Amino acid sequence: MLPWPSEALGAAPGSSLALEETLPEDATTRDLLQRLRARYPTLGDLTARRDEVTLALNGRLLDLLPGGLDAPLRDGDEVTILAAFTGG
Amino acid sequence: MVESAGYMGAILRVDLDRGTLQTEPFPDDLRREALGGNSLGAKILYDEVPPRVAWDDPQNRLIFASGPLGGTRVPGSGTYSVVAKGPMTNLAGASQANGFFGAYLKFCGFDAIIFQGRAAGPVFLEIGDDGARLRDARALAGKDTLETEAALRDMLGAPGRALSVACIGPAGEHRVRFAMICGDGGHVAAHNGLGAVMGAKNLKAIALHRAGKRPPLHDQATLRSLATTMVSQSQALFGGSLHYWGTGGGFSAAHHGGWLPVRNYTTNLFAEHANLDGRNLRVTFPWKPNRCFACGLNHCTTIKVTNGPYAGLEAEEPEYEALSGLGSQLGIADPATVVMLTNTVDRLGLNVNEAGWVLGWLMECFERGLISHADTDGLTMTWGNAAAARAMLYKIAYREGCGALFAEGVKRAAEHFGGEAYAAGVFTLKGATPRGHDHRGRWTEMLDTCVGNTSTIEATSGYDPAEPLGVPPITDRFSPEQIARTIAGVSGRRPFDDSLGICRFCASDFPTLLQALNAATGWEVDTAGALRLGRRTINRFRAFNFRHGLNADLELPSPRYWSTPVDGPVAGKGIREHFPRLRADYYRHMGWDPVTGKPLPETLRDLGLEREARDLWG
Repeated sequence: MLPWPSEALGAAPGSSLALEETLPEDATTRDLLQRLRARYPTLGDLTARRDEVTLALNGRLLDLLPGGLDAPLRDGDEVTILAAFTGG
Repeated sequence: MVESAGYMGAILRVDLDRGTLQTEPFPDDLRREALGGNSLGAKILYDEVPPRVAWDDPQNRLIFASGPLGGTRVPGSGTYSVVAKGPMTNLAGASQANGFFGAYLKFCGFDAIIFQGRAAGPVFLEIGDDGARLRDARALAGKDTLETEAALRDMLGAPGRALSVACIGPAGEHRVRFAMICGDGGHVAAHNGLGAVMGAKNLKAIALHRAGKRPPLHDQATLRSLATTMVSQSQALFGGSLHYWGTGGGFSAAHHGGWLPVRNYTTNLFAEHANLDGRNLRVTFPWKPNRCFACGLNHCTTIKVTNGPYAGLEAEEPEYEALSGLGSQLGIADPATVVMLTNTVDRLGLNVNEAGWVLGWLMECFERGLISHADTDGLTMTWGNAAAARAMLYKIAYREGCGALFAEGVKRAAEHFGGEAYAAGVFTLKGATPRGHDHRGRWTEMLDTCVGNTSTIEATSGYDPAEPLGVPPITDRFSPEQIARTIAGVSGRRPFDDSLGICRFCASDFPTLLQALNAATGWEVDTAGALRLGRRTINRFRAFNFRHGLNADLELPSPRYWSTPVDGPVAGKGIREHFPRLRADYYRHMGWDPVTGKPLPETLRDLGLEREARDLWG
């Protein structure tokens, strides 16, 4: 079972984590996730774990934004990775 | 063939008409075919409840069942299933509850209990080392669920964990359509009005002593080792969020993700979402773990409200479903108020999901002038009015005044008023409401809620990794093609889990779960075999439902349920135009007729459901 993204990124269990990344111009969310995966191999491919995680860009669901994962990011953009479990 | 371990080998049949109890064998071929839990319940329901039997007919069956992992010391093995024909949909109902009941059932020597008939007056069933007996429950009549538990511990001289109780409150006694069964301090079997079925049988409670029998196990050493692994896995689930913050730890994420229900779907914006997140509750209120049988999680806790109007209230920490249903759904942002309302719902014995949808619908209709004080017995049902909400819950539970109508649930109440009031209701045309989510931001669950066969989600659970089951994952949450394919692909997993007598949160890793099952029983179940067993359960429930009047016209959302969100993370994203195709694709993937949704004869036969195939197709 793949570790939860926050754990794979080094966060203590149950806590969240904020990371700052400097990316090349016109880098996309997909590029960002690939970079994170290269640095933290246990993260897995988050683009394929969409059942388990929700991706948001500046508070809007990535799925619904033009270009989605492949839209260029801009200075100051905030990408959020959220656990996608519901209910209980 | 060696007899399967993990079982007590006995089912208790209680005839409430005659007041008799009979022990029936649970033979090995039935264990292998139907396992336990909701799968066993599905078989008994299909075999013993013909179409002419209504939910409140004495000949309806009410089945309580553990499973082969029940009482085996793997974490969460106190879970049990309740199955009956339920009043919200007049179709099959199945629900799981945690706590200790399922383990103690096995310690008392039984794998399941079947209730039939109706007692002449209120009774409760007591089982212990010295056997089972029906007893007069008149002294318990009218007590709420927590009072009932306390009274039984006193009456039977069995304090604390010496006794496990499943009971109904006033809502079940008054046959409120969404009454639930509650036990062990707040663990509930809540869907499709199973508490009303219990009330219709004049059955107030079941009290199980912590008796001395134990299920035989095939490989105790391996199972013990796997139990340790499963504890660690449960604590790591969702990155530790469940263990550290409870299911309320997903509240803010629901808001960000677009699936938090706010004010009856009139908006998706709830600025105060952080107030009701588990991270806030567990730093605001002192709390202590209230763990289920053999569980290592701090998921279930008891909290104490320390200030404000409810200071001193000590109650079960609200789960996500209560935080949403009695919080954001009603425009309430104060966590202490949600604690109070949750405690009220639990004591009265009402399903928190339906209660939240009824109250939220009432508030919207009142705010818009679609209903008035004349319709609410003078209660001012405005957004956030917790006092009015509480008073209305009592009216509903006792079917008092206007409560008699609202006790019928959102769909029937909305039909009564018609027009714009009907248009405001969130429900499925089958008759039940969804869980406490805005499924307009979670299309997988809207589909599953509408086509599920037990009045709630069936193929999914809110967390359903597809790849471990060999199914391509969803890469686009709003792709009808991917949703239909993937949900059909993972279908069977969750009904299989619910046949085992174990809590889902403690069974998160499927390979480990199968190893545990095989270690307990001596079986060699693999992923394909498990999915087949689960799909057999789905199709058996579905065959039952078709015989009892289900058709595809009922497997649709209400107008408000599939409306397009006006704001928030999924603003403008409408499912309605896609739903017919989504549903038809799902039917097709499941081996059902793509127009009628009826399981095809070859689908039923492939799953070993020959009788069901003949009954549906001749």
